[in-house]
Amino acid sequence: MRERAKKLLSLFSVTALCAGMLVGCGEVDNQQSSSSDPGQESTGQQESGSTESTEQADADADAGPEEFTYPMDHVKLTLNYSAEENGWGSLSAEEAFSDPEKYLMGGIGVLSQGSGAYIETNGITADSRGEEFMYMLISHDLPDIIVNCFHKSYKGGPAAAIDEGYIIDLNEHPEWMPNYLAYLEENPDVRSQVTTDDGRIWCFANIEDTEYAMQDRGIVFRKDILDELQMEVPVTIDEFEEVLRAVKAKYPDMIPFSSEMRWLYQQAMLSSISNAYQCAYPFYCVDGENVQFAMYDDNFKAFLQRMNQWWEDGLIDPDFPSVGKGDVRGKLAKGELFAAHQQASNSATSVNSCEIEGAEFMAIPALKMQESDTVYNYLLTGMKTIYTFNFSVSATSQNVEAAMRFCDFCFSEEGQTIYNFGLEGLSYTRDAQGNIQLLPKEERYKDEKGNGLAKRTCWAGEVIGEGMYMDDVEREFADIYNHFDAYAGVDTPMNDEESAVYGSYFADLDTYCQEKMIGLVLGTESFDNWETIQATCRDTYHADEVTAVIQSAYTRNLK
Amino acid sequence: MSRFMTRLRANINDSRIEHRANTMPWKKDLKKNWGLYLFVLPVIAYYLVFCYYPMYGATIAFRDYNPAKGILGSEWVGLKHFISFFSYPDVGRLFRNTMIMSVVGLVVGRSASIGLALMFHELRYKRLKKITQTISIFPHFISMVVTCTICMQFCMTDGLFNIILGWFGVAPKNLLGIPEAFVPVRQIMHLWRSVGWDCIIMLAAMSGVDQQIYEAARLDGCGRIQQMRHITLPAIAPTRVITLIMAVGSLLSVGCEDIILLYNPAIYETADVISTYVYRKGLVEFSFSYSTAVGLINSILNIILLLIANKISKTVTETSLL
Repeated sequence: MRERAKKLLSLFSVTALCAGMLVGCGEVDNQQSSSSDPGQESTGQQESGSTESTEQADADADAGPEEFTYPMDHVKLTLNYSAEENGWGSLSAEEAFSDPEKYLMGGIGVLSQGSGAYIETNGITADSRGEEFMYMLISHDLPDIIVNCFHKSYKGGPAAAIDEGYIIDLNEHPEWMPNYLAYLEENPDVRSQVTTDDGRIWCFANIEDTEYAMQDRGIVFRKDILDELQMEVPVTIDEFEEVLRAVKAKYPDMIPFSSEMRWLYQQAMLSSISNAYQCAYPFYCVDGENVQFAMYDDNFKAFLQRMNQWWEDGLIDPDFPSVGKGDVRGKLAKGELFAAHQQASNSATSVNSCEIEGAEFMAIPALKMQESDTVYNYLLTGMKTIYTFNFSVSATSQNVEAAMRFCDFCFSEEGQTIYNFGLEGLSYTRDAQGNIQLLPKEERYKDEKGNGLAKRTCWAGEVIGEGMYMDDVEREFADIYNHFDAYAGVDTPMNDEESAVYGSYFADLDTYCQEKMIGLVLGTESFDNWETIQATCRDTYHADEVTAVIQSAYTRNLK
Repeated sequence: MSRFMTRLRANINDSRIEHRANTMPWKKDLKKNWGLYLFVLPVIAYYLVFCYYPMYGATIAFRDYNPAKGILGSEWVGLKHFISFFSYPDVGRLFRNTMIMSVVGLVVGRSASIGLALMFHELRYKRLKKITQTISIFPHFISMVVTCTICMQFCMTDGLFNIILGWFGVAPKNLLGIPEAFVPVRQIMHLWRSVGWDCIIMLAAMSGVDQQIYEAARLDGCGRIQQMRHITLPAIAPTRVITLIMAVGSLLSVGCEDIILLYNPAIYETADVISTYVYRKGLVEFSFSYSTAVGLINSILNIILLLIANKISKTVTETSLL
């Protein structure tokens, strides 16, 4: 009897375990099927559903285009964006719009108010280089709008993403994006970046603020110490070196110069110094024609030799190999450092947190060899550049029109204003001339989560007015750093063939060059090996092929 | 060597004889113990479904995997990714650095964890033992990012490591700019973080030793050190061997999270390992196939090392994992 009971118990345990396993498998299917429900739900809620919109579009085509007004009928759209949890779970569009003060605040919320589309994120990163994003694609559980960087890191590029059924060609419905098309008409350089080789438009672009692009970094130093030394503000690299040597001689405990080491090898980031040699790592074009590879340029060798000399003479922070931006910022604020190369925002933080009496800080533009030399911007090409993350409409969206209308809203005047500045009266006011004046930060950040009404996030649309969000110190520094005479950047969109070559070779080439550059500066590599290094770049790491594709893309886009 | 080979052959023969002597006809065994077989069935099903079945996905190492086309629909490219990996000019350096870090970690880490376990085992005051053991485990729960940030600060010219080195007359230098210093620094960081956690299993093995043996040894006049040498260490030998074999099986799988946080181009010579290279390469595009190919190479080499280690262990100590 007892034995029989034991056997029955073991049979029951086994059955329960197996059932548990099956239920676990079944939940995945249930989740997948339920995740498509929001799309169906919003189809039901959307008063101008896709079928109706098709019929409507047909009627409009016959009757002539009818002007579309915002806000559109309330609709819920999903997209992938790792926004903070809102704390109130998934809502329907009507629930969200029933209390906009509660549910539709913050940078995304105010766009919802203006457009009529309630945006809900699925919590998955916008970074399409990440595993999470890939799993989203593989599962085909796609939101209505896919925030992505297909042009940067998707095999085959955006054209492949369209062919493989993830996103749509926006040209299929030009009537749903009139503002965007008008913007592309005025900005052919943006159009070329959002159009595939065969003419399909793959995204609503996010365009960087070219006024304050990533060039907002440069040299900042202690003006009061310079005055004590009775020296002039340096303009040339020789003058700057003289100042550093004078600081080292008079203040042996003070570090003359510091910077994060990664600025040496990240694209053109130490160009505030390398500009003296009219070059920057890795690629640049100063004559408007020919793309140069830094490691082939003897001027770049001379720049590295200068940096090596500074390192050997103790003018550079001994912690240069591992110092982080916080360390540089902190050392400058505490008076341990005379000069630093960092972003304007970090320089402003150093200034604002410095408690040394009498301390004054000054930023200077990029150094030159001669005063008459040109200051180049090694990052920009003069064309507007689309940002890393852009907005595509997914091929599985049940609300293609609503998704396109929402993104198109961001390119209307109203949408651009909301995107960049928020709501009038709540985040900005207008002066007598009608110019926008942002309200103080504490007023713009209304709730405890810090959801500012204005410019909280990158979004479809052009970023403008970045400088208005800087404090006076940061803007002063950024304006100086952004002073340049000519463009020398070479970062232009590549076609699939060029991307394939670049993707195959550049990572290894870059790794090798970084190692050699750092070694040369720190003295662990000899400058006698310069020609060997060049030969290795050419023969082993295909530098010529990489340069050729960059040249090809540059010539095609800028000529 | 010939004695070793003779023992190896004898060992294999003995296993076969032992197996034949202990085998019951499987039908009879099934009839007698059907409940046990039924009980283990879900576990077998679990491994079949979640471990063995997905193995076919390793074929993406031989394809240009495209998520849209699926595994079977992706183009077959054969050994393209393997060739691409071995074509990297510094691939030898990657393997060398990976092996060095693994071996150093194995030797130093295990010695430290056994040593610490022995020290804990010798503590007489139970309360003190519990407190110190608990404290030693705490660093294991600190995130790797925080640990690496602390380590970077310690490596600065005015950091803790340079202060200590200064006592011995060494001039301060940023340790993360010196290639030769990377492995010791990383090992120290790992020791601090994981020695308390790793010694748990050793301590558990030591706790299983019969106390009467220690009593008898004390009556015979054995001191603490002698008891450690002749009782404790031999008693945990099977555990040591098993954990060593398992560690050998992951010799080529040095994780990259801490290295990526600590390394920089100045120390690629000693810090760049297989996983950091794959991480850098993988950022350029969705290179699932490439990463899988490298992972497959790692796994195959690890299995070979594990089988060799297991066989040697079985021959020398008669203890083995398999």
